[in-house]
Amino acid sequence: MNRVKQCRIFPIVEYYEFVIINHFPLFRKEGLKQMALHQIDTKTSKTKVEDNSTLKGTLASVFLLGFFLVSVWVSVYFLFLDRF
Amino acid sequence: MISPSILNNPTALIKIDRRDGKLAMAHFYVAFTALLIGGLAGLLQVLVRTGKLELPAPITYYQILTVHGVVLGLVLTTFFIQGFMMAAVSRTAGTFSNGQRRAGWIGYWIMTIGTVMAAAMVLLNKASVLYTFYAPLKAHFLFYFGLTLVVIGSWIGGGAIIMAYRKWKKANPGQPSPLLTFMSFVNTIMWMVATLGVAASMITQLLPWSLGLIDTVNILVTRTLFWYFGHPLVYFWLLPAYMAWYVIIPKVIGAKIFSDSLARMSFILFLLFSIPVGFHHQLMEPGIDPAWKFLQVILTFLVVIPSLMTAFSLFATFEKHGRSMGAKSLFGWLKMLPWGDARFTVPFIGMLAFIPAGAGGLVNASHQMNQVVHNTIWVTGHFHLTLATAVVLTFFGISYWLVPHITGRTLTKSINKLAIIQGVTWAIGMTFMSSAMHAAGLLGAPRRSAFSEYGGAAQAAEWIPYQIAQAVGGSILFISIILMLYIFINLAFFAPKGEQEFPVAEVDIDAERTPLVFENWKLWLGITALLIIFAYTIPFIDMIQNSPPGSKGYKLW
Amino acid sequence: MHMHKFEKAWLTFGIGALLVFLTVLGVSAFYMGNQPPSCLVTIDPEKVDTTKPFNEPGLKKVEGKDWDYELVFVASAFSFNPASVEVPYGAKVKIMATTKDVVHGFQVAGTNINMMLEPGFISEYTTTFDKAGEYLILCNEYCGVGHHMMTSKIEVVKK
Repeated sequence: MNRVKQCRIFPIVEYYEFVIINHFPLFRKEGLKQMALHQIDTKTSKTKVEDNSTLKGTLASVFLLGFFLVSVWVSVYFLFLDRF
Repeated sequence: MISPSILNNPTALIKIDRRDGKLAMAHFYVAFTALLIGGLAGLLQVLVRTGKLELPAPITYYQILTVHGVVLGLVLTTFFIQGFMMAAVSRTAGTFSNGQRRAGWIGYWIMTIGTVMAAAMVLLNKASVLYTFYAPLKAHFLFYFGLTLVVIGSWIGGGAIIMAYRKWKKANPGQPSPLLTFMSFVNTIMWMVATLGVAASMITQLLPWSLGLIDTVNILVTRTLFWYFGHPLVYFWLLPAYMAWYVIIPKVIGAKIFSDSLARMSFILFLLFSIPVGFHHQLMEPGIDPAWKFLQVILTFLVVIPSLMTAFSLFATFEKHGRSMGAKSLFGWLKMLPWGDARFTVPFIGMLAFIPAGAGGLVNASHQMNQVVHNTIWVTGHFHLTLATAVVLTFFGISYWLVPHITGRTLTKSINKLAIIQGVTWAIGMTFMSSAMHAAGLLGAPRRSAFSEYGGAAQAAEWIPYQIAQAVGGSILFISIILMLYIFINLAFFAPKGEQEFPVAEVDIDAERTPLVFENWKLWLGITALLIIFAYTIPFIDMIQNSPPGSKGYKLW
Repeated sequence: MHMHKFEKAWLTFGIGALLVFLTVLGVSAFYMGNQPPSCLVTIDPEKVDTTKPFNEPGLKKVEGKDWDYELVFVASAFSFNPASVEVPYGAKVKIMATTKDVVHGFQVAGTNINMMLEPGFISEYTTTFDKAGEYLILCNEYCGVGHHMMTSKIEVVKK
């Protein structure tokens, strides 16, 4: 189990652990859980760079939404200012 | 990659217990009956407002309008939501215990009896007071009592959800609860805190007044207690739609939940900020200091934030999925969405509608800007986008798979196709109707008003073409309602037998672990209570200490 | 809790926009006096016809006040009194209104004059009529069968 925590040999270890663990159903659940948690720990630091490019469409979409909200608000505000 | 959630309940073929399904389905029968009756009322309204149709005596416009609001805004919603939440909790926290199911049934029957009681009074023209029942218009006692029973029934049914949540937590210490169960729990406790207001108004004012036990009621207090309830009411409607958007839609499209933690955080923010904001429905009223109005405006703006978060989460879910399927360009992931699947497409139309809906909502809440739109038909246009499109289309999108899941049938290709037509028809109808309402409202056209030429006023003549457009839109919407009822009846009774998935998405492997702080209810309910006390205590005491003589009842219909 | 940096950017923009709106509204309301109608004065709804100034509805010139005229309306099911009034172009007018029975709305179509009339309360709004024309006054809160026939009008005339 200790080897799972060594990040440097992570891909090889992960595959090795996966193969070994699958032969032992009793340990599988715990092993998978350890692996999964480890993956979460390493993945969040590794994929920050990838994240930026993969969510550009989301950023564009929400900012379009934002500009729409602002435009509607400003338009009605000017209508309010114009009326007595 | 091995998903950690394989360790939990992995298969898509989990069926909810037959008895829990029966309980949920009972709620849906009432909800869809309400859709038919309320929809019919709406059709009559838009046709009358063209000036070309007169209602046959003794039916009156305001009676029909009361039916429309009560039946769609209170009955359809509450029943569908209770049924859906019960199904969702049974699916994710486990089959209900006998005690929980009994609570569910008792709640259901009390709600149904209350509904019939209130509806009877409206149909007998003894309660043409609209769904906000503002005093000093005074309805028959049984109208108020019937609505009170609906609320009490919802508490008992909600009790089943709370019991199920607590049972799961006891059996799984140190674990975050299943997401759909967590969200149902939040929605239920928010509802219970909110309904305290309308219950107080009923018990201390409207019930004894309509019984003749007291002569007068404090108008401002009854209105304030109503809107203390009335704003979180719309979040009680919205949150189940968000449940579907966060947890069910990703599974339908074959994606994962973008962030379990952020979804929970948004629901906690709704719990905190949905209630201490009722004054934004009372911005034009005398008797409330504008400083307190502005404070609640600030709190209202805060409740926009979890919706901004939700928008990001949803786009991110779609984009991550699309990119994992190979999409490269900025918006190419949109093409990867399953447009041919009604379980996705119809709720997606709802999501889109929420964009102009939210924009309008921001305007409504903007303190003195409310003067431009208060009680105009712009407001009606607004809530036909929020409730009658975003929420209702999502509910329809849920029933396409939930009804056959419960009845042991399948969503066939042809019904799926019909459902998409139904959704698109709704979108077309609503575009006509709601746009015309927004525009006419800006020109001053009032809401809640039968056809009138307003003494020949030139300004009023301008509104008529918009009312024709509303009738076109409303008629198209009615066609869509008929299609939906056909789909519902088919999926309930006639569709081929089989297994229909109850889709529940798993969390994305990149998402961070869910902190347990989100289930620290002492903390969250404590803050909720503090915010309500902060926002309401002083102005409420003012209302009572500086109150004018109370009002006797009037029956002006 | 980890939040994607794009989501942080979006929420920063969103919350920033909300703060800007609140500031604009707040300054306009609290420094420039553009509050929504929020009069706190009470009245006995059964004695409206004998309580000043509602015993004499209509337009009255006033002296020594921040406004030039007072325009007093009394609402009841289903009419406004006065049923029609002329206001001089450019006049700064304080509109005061109340109801004798149920809740009514008081809206001057196409303007920002929009307030709820609640039994037991006086509603007030001060504004300058700087656009000529004929303006429909209508009730925008359901008050019974005659709700949609409850009207009055303001004619803003250049003299």
